[in-house]
Amino acid sequence: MLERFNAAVLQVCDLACEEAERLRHDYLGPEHILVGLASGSDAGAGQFLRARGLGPDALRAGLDRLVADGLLPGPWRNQADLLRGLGVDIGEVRQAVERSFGPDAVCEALRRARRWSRLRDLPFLSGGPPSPLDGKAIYAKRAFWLAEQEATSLGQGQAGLAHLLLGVLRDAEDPAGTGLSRRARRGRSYLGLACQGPSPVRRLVEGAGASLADLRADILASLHAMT
Amino acid sequence: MSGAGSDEVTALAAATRSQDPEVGLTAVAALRGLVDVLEALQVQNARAKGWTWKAIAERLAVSKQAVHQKHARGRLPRIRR
Repeated sequence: MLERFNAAVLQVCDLACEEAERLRHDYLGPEHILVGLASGSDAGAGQFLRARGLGPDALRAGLDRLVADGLLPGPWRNQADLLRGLGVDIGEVRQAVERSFGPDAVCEALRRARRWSRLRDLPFLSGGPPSPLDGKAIYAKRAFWLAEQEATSLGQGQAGLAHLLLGVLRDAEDPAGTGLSRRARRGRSYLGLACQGPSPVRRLVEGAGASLADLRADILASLHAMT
Repeated sequence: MSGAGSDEVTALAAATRSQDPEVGLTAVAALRGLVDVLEALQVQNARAKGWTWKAIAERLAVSKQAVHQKHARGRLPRIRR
C-alpha cells in the first residue's frame, strides 16, 4: 500500500501509531495520521499545520475531548487490556503460537480468519472486526488512497507528506465511514467508532477554528508554487 | 502492552468482571476474535498433517459440513444481498 510514498511518510506513520497507542486505540485512523503529520519535524506539512493552530498539543487535546464526548473509543475498549482482564495475555499467546507454528502460519491464519475482505474491489476497504492478535486495524486506507490520487493528479510520481495531508483532509470532507461496506462499518462500530456524522478529522480541524477547504486550497497553492 | 500500569490493569480486570454489559460483551467479542484465529491456525495445521474434515469436525464438536464451509481453501463465501 505504501510503495508510492516516500520515507518521511513512514516516519509519520510511526508517530501516528504512537498517538493511537497513547489513546489505547486498536486502530490507526486519519485522526492519528493528522497528529503524526503535525508532530513531524519537517518544514512542510508539520510547519504548515502548526502555523494554523493545529500543532500536536492542540490536536491531542482535541482528540481527548472527542474521547470524552464519546465520539472516539475510550481506553477501556483496548482488546489486549480486556483480554488481560480475563486472564489472557495476548502478547504471550502470539509468541507461543509463533514459536509452535512460525510467524508465516500465524499470518496465514489471521488472513483466513478475515478472508471475506479479499472480495472487496476497492483498495481502502477492510474486513470485519480485527482480531486482537492482528495488531492495529488500519482505518486510514482511504486517506492514503486519496493521497495517491492527489499525487497522480498533480503529476508527481512519489507521494510525500503534503499529499498525505491532502488525502487526510479530502477524506475528512465526507462523513465518517464513507465508502465502506456494511461489514467494514460493523468493524468500525465494534471498535467504538461512529459510522455517520462528521469525521473526527473534520471535528478536530473545525474545533481549532480552521476549515478543511481553506487548508486544502493553501496546500495546493504552496505545492503549485514549488513546481 | 507497554502503556498500562499495574493499577490500570487491576482496574481493567475488575471492569471486565463487572456487570457493565458494554465492557463484558466487548471482552467476549475480543476473546472470540482470538479463538477464530486459533481455530484457523489449528485447522490449517491438522489439514497439513492429513486429518480429514470429519476428524477435525469431531474434535471441534461441530458438523463436518460446518467446518468445511468455514475453512475449506479456495471456496468463495456466499454473498448475501
